[in-house]
Amino acid sequence: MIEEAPVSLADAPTRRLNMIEAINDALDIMMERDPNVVVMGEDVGYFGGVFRATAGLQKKYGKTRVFDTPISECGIIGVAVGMGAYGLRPVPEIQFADYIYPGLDQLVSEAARLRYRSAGEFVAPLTVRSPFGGGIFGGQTHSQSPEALFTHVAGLKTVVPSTPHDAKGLLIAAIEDNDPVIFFEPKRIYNGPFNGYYDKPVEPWNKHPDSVVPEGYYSIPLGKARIVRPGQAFTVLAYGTMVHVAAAVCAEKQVDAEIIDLRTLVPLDIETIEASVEKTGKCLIVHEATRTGGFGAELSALVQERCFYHLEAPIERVTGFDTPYPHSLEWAYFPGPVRIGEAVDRLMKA
Amino acid sequence: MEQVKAATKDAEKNGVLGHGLHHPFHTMFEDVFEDLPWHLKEQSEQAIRERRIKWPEWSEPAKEA
Repeated sequence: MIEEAPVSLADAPTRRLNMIEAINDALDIMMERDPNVVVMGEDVGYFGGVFRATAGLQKKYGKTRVFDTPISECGIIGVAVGMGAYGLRPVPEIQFADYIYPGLDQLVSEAARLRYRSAGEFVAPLTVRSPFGGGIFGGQTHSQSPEALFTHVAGLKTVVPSTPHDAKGLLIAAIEDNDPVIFFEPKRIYNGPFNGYYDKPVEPWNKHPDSVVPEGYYSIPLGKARIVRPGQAFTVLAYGTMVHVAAAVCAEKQVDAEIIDLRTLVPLDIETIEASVEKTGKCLIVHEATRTGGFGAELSALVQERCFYHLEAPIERVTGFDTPYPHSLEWAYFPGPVRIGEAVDRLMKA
Repeated sequence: MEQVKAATKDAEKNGVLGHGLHHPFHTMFEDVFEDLPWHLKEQSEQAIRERRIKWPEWSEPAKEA
């Protein structure tokens, strides 16, 4: 590992990147800095990843550090756990979050517990990258948001970036972390922020302020949320794609909402959440995943437990429906402007 | 080739992704289970309500009216 002080972000030269480019940049920087970082997964090597997140890395770092694997998610994660236990810092890619289930046993039974089981003698410092979420007409096998399966597991950290700037800084922090991190990349916003209006032209990232990414190394600590917009009317808790959709709805309705991008689900920045809800007295939770047992339920419970005497209205929870991700009815399933807008209206009337 | 093109056009009459929603919304909730539990009934009603707001011009099948 190269020891060097991170550059001051204020002074660092910047360039505009989309989220894919930012992730590629983070991987490149960490592979350059730390020879123990290895990238592995289906099509990540020669092809550079189905979304191009690993493009050029094999050519630059060779086939022993960036390599293609068989189509075996269980094998990918299992090998990564072993590599991590013996000193490497693997960054396996699961091509779509929908494919992660065959690797679940290795993640839950091995990666998540290795430190605990060995009293700290062995660790699993792997970062599992995986595109997740819908909005790309991917149907039920390319659209799921299974983050709650992982937030439920003791020993796993779960990260969901919502901008190129954060994707780079959070991925670097995840790779440097000595515990296993599930790094879910909202693929709907790989190439541009999405406001929920699927029938309108998509804005590219290069028009968004958060596409300005510092060059070189920097990290964003895991467990620290970002206040996207300060406000007084109510608190919005969201992550990934839904940060942009919720922000667009609040802007359209001209409500003074405080929008919090959680960035990291575990560990959760509970201090920022508490301070915000205590100030606003109302809370709207938005996620794309199915509702029952979703991470929104955990957020709702925490807010109720810790901010009950500050609440002026019932907590609102806007989510996907409890169905498999439907193909032709994708935009009926997606928690878009109408569903969020109704919740906003209820909070404003309360 | 002509046969394939004709078959494609015929199939596309049922709807093309990105060109609107063509299936009744309640079908989204069917076949999750054999029977519809309470929460899926509620969510089905919500989806249909949202559809009336989002696409008021969409004709309502008898089951959803």
